[in-house]
Amino acid sequence: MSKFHSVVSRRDFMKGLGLAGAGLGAAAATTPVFHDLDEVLSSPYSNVSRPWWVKEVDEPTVEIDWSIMSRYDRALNAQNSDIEDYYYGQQMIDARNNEDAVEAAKLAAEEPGYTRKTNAMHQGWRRGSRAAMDPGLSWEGPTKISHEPMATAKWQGTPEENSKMLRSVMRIYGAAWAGFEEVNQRMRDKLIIKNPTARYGWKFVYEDVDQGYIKPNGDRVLPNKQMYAFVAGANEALFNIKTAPSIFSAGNNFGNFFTASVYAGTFQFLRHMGYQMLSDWGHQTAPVNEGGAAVLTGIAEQSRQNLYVLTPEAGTRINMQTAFTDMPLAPTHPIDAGMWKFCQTCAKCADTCPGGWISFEKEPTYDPDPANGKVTANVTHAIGPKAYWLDAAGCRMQRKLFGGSCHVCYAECTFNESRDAMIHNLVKATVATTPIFNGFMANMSAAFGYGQRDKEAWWDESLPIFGIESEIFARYK
Amino acid sequence: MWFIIALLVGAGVTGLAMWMRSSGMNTKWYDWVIGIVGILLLLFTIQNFFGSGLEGEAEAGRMFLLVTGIPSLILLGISGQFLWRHSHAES
Repeated sequence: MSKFHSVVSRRDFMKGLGLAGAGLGAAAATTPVFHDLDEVLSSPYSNVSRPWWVKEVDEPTVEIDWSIMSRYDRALNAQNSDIEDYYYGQQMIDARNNEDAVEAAKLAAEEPGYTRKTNAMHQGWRRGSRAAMDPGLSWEGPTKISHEPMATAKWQGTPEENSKMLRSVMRIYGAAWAGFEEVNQRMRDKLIIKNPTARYGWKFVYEDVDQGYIKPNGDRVLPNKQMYAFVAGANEALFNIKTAPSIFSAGNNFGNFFTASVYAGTFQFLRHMGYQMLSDWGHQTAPVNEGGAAVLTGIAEQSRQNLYVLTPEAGTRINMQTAFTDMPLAPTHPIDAGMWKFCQTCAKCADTCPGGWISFEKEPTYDPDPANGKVTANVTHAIGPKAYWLDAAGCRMQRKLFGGSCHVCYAECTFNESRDAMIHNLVKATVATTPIFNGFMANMSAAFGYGQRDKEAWWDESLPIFGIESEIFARYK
Repeated sequence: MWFIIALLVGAGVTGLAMWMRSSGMNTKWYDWVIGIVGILLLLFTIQNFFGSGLEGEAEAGRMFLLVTGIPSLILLGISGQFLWRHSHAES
């Protein structure tokens, strides 16, 4: 029988042991050591984790001229029909008048994305599941559920501990992302909007009070004392976005369910902790322009498309809302994942926009492009960021022409992909590290067929619960 | 699946190395570089092909076979060709 012997000498063996021990010691020296749970809570390592290629920065990647920014009047945005008509006149009126008929025709013909079973699923979701998750949104809290008693003793934690705690709570309730900011004078003077869209008829005002409230005339009062803002982002489903345009392709179709859950749950949680929460939490009644809030709190970066923002984890697929509280929170910082830079080369959203409403400009500007020859600065657009500017009224008209649903740009964004194939994270990491391959990556997104898909294919696929790939977010805090 | 692939790749490379050693084959450094790049590209192709299938992106899966799969096979073929030439040159 052969005898086998090691070719490693005793000297080399002992040398190897020593090196391994030194390596373990070095690793231990660099690893955080916690003595108790309080230290765990306050450790920066326990607060936020994003994909490794996402960098935290002091200023957002989109340049902002704060000197020209002022509180926005949302009664002037393109979601007001008089503003829509101002820009496109009879063309818009005709599109609006025909919108229902266009949708009805598609449903009658059972076009892909408008088949009977797809419509039934959509109506069941909207008027069933989503309707069931409707706590009644109001500045002073949910109107359809009883408010928990406000605790007399306020929870005492450091802002960092509170942010970590609130982030965890919001995650459980349905927020994939959470961002925090102090309500400082800049936010009060420039970011909190004056009023929602015109049909509501009230304003956001500030008073020297301890608790925010709704005035008899409907005005929402935000206390002048130190307040904090938190932004909740719920993941949107990818399967429906990729059916654009279809009856259920709206980018905020599924995330609304979770933002409603976050609204009601967080409200009650904060009351248990002795703190208030103020927000109407609505699409048109949100107290700040949500995209801006997401960018400033590090949830996302600006996009070329200009209406949606881009998250590193899931691209356009975010439904955001902002609320205020007096629980001290540590601010989160803007991020740089190379996405805004990538937008400057990509323009896939602009290429695929059915009406050409998205800017093809090479360079962003502070001055919004006109729409149909008319000024949009501080009308449909709040000036301040150096951006690419969407023809927002034209975009609204396009939706009507399609029967109430477009969202092609949401489907086509290169950053949407993120689930199983490793290429997506490789592309995102490369884009975040160097821009030299941006053009190539943008071309490959189209060449590989990412974007809009067969509108009925999802019926034959295995889907995550609620259509939301929450497993992506389980990896991050 | 990846566990099995790792076992197969590990066994294959080990077997190849043992066979080359026992036959006294001389290799150049670039034989290994080309071969390893070919294997990595093939594994990359497999992962993205099946991943794209799970995502419902069949077209993307096919493009991976074309864009990275074929080059991986070419590289592995070149590496194999070099090995064959070395073994025949020595004999």
